Amino acid sequence: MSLQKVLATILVADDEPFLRELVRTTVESDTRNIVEAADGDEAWALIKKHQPALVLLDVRMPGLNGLQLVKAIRADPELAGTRVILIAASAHESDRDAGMAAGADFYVTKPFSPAELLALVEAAMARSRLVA
Amino acid sequence: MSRATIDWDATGSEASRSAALADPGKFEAVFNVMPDAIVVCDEEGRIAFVNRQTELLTGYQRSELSGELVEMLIPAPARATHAALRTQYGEHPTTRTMGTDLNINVRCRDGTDIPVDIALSPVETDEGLRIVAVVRDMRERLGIEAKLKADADAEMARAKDELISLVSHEMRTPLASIVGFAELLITRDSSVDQRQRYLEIMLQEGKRLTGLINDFLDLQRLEGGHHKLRTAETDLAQLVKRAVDSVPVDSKTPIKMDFPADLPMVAVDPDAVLQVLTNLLSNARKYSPDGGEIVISGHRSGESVEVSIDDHGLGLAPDELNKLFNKFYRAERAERLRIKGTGLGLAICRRIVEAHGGHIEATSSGIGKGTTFTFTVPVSLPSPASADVVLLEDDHGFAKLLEAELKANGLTSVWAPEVQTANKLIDKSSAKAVVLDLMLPDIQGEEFLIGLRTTRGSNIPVVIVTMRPVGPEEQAALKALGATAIFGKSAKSVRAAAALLRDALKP
Repeated sequence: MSLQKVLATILVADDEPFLRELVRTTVESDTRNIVEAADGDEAWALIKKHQPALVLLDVRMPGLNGLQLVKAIRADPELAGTRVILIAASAHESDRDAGMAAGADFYVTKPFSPAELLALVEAAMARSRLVA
Repeated sequence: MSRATIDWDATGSEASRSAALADPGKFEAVFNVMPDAIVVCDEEGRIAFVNRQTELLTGYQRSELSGELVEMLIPAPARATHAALRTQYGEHPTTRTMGTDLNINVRCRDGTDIPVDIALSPVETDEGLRIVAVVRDMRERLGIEAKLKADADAEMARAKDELISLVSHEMRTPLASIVGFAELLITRDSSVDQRQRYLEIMLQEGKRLTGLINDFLDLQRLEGGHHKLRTAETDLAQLVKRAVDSVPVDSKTPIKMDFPADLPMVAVDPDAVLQVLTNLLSNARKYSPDGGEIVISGHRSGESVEVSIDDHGLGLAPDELNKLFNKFYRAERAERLRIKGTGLGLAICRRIVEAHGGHIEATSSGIGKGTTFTFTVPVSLPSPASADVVLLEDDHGFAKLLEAELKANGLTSVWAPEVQTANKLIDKSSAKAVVLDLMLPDIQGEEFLIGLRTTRGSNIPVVIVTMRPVGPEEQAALKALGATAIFGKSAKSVRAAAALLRDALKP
């Protein structure tokens, strides 16, 4: 355990402000720096800039959608350590499979339990540390 | 069917035509290049000639068919009755098809049946009557039809899937806020301010979800044709005024009304058209983020009144104009600017306008140049000028009940959902009495009563039927204003009111 506080950056991308607020409220802590994006294009610009440890992406957004973003992240060697949680409105198996196949670490369906989302965030961050 | 008649004229006279049939060998070359099978029979139903295509279709050689009864080419169920049908046809021969929807088949040499379309044509020859059957192989066409149907089914299933996915997305998003913040409220220690904030979001998103469900159900009802229009003769300008009053005042986007005084009455469902107007007006506001005047105007155009709503807002690209009325469609720029919407409002508007026999369209000079929505509603055709009683009542169901009861008493009536309509009807019809509800959307019944007594004096009986409890003092006050009688809203009082009017009008 390091004594110095390490700030991990987490990006939250959703076109719905209340959803961003819910996710931010759920995951924020004094060791995490939360960055918000309101559409897919803004999300991609911020991902390139901050190289976050974890991104939480809404699947259906204006601009690049969540699936396109996961693929872009997985194709980018600079972002090898970035973990991805997709947040989707579809509970269809086929959509979940497509999300996981694109390279997401976890796939969460709306509505979700903040406690469960937080557990997934912590699991993803642990993976991130292992990889990085 | 042109192919039912073989056009011999090019080759010569009626005589040569008969000769050709008597000895089809002469025309064999012509018959053999025809894409359809041709079978010529004599009066006994014996095959006199077949062309090359018949051999290809059935697998029989010409020599095997020649002189045989034509029934050998007909599959079992139809074979038994065919001889009788053939005899009937011989008695009244005409050029006709055997019927494409009859599922006619030809039995081939190998026992298989092939779907065909057959055209029959009688030809008199020197050797007697000949029947020419032109037989077309329908396998390809039926295959194409089956494929088209399968494609259409697949397209419908795809559209349905897409719809379900959209509805799911639209509904789960507000639900996620409600469920999520509720859990945070229960499981976390939050400050008073935070709790207040979470509850506000939950309320707002709960309302959004409710609106979405209502819109969606409205649309389903409209699309299923289950929505019955409650058409009434309506003063459109008055309805527009109600719509304008119902959208919140905003000085950035003032709404200007421009309706000529002599606009004819329209025959519409006032509630449904109010929904269209409110929707278009709030859209005009919503998509004018930088403000700008909104003008709503109307004019007569033939048997319709055309209503236009003009804004100075975001405008639309040409390719967006057509898609605008599709379910869940949202314009790209509105999405980018994060202007909220379900994409259902305009789909609902379109259905309502179309249910009235009108049409709706959007025009725009382009992005940033504002949008104009125009829709039409039918002009009310010669009004029921002969009605005895005007029913000023905003509840359609209750108006129907009154109408039925008056009819049972030999009185005709006409429904007016609001005051302006009632006044116009009283002015131009022969109405001799009014049934008045006290609680109306625009003004109170008392005001109407005062107005009526001022303009028309005291010779029109006015019977009040109201939900509002009326105490003895108010009763006296209403009678002083000229009310003939006052009833509560019940089946019994409707009967009493109708009987009273009958006695008053038909002494």
